[in-house]
Amino acid sequence: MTFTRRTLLAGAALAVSVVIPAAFPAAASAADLIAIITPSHDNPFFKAEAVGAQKKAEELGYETIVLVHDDDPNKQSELFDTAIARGAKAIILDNAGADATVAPVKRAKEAGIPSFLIDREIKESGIAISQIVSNNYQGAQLGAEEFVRLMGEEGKYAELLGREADTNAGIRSAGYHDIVDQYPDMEMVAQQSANWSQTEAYEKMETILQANPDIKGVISGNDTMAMGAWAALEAAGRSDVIVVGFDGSNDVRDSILKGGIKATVLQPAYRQAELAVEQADQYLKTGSTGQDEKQLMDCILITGDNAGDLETFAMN
Amino acid sequence: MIFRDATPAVCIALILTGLAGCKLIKNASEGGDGEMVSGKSGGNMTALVDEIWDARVLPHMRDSATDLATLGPAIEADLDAAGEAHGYRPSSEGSPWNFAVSVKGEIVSAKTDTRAATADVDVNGDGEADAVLQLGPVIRGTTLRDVLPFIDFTSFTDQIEFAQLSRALNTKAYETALEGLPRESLVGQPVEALGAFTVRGKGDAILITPVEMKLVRQ
Repeated sequence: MTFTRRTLLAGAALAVSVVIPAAFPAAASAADLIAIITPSHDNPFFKAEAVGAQKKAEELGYETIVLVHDDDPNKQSELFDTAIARGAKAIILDNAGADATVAPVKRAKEAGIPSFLIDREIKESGIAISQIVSNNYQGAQLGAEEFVRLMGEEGKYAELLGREADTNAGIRSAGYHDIVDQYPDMEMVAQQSANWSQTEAYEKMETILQANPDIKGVISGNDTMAMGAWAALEAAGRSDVIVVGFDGSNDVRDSILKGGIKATVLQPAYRQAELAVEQADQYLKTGSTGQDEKQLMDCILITGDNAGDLETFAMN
Repeated sequence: MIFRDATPAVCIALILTGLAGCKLIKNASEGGDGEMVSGKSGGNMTALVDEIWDARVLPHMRDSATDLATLGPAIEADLDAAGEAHGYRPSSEGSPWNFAVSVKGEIVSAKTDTRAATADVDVNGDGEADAVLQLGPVIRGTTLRDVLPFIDFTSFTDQIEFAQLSRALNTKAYETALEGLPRESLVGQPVEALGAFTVRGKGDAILITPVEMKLVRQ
């Protein structure tokens, strides 16, 4: 079935204007639709989430619609209208901003569509049914402990930060510094945002390296930025620099196995997406997930010792 | 006093009457001593910890601690059974078990040339270390936060605030129980401690964050 933009918007307006009571628990039928909305699949992390959610939903007998918001809150808002207009029974969401996402999730709730959030939190509780996020603080501390150990508890280092609007950027940085700052001989000479982006991280790393040629380590808020930083370091003949990432991507796994990047922290992204769908299914059938709204899932340190067991954001 | 059926108006009145940094929102769903602790948005976690440390945290730890001489073998035999009997964990999938523990033994080795100082303790007299006590000032992990059934993630604004709470608890433990301890001649000293630890998988070292600790021959 093809919708024109006009009919979509009309449908959205209709769905919003009609007062629909809170979601009725109902058995899933083949026609029931689950909308899966994530950031761009350019980052394999988000692709793994979308695939994990889609496979689990189809396994449980749902139809799926997979959408990407490209970290644009306006686009995300339109996608919510699409999901509402299409009559989705539930929305699985990795959101485009902790503040900006409150309104669309509320709008879906008022239209009787429960949202199940993964990876990133929003600033309010009581609107989404589940918020299942990686324990970023625990993971960041694991990464930082390994980073400090690799650095011999001393030396100059740089930090690459993620996108500011994303709570995960702040929490990982806080987790890193809660550990690293307690070692007085660890000296941070640069701290810059590369917005989770590989190309931006490459450029930032080049600049940081020029200003600080004696740098010994780089701790990065995610794996794509770690890959960008590592490429810049290699290009500059500085493969002696210790790089630690966060996410547990296959790219960084391969780099670790080749002796490049030293460590990363695995977020169980694939399982998280499956779990969100399982909770959506249970909620639709029984009216409850049986879980607290906000749920933390532990991360795992990945080094040369266990990188071989890592595949698509899960340990084999 | 139980706030299970407290109306919103009552809650607001409580907040307005000056429970700074702390509000009481609902009854603990499992294993708790009453009200859940919650941060106010943008709240000061150090102030919150100051409020609950003597009133809630220490009493809970004292009441729920299991002797390590019992707990260690129980965990080794069956982690989940030991967890059900002596531990606490949130219901979300993959959450590790957290245990309140009392320790009575002898320090058999100590690592004090790092800011994450530790002392290895033998509790069964075989001369081998059975657990590691964190001495700080760097205290690792979030076990003090995670062992408390009256603290849950949903009651806090975001992970940042929840992390600050953990950090504040660790700092309080260091300042009240660990900072004043000597760092020299620890080996061979009899020691008694009350603390918590988290077990993420079988065979993990038992890394205890103490909230009370004394060297018997100090």
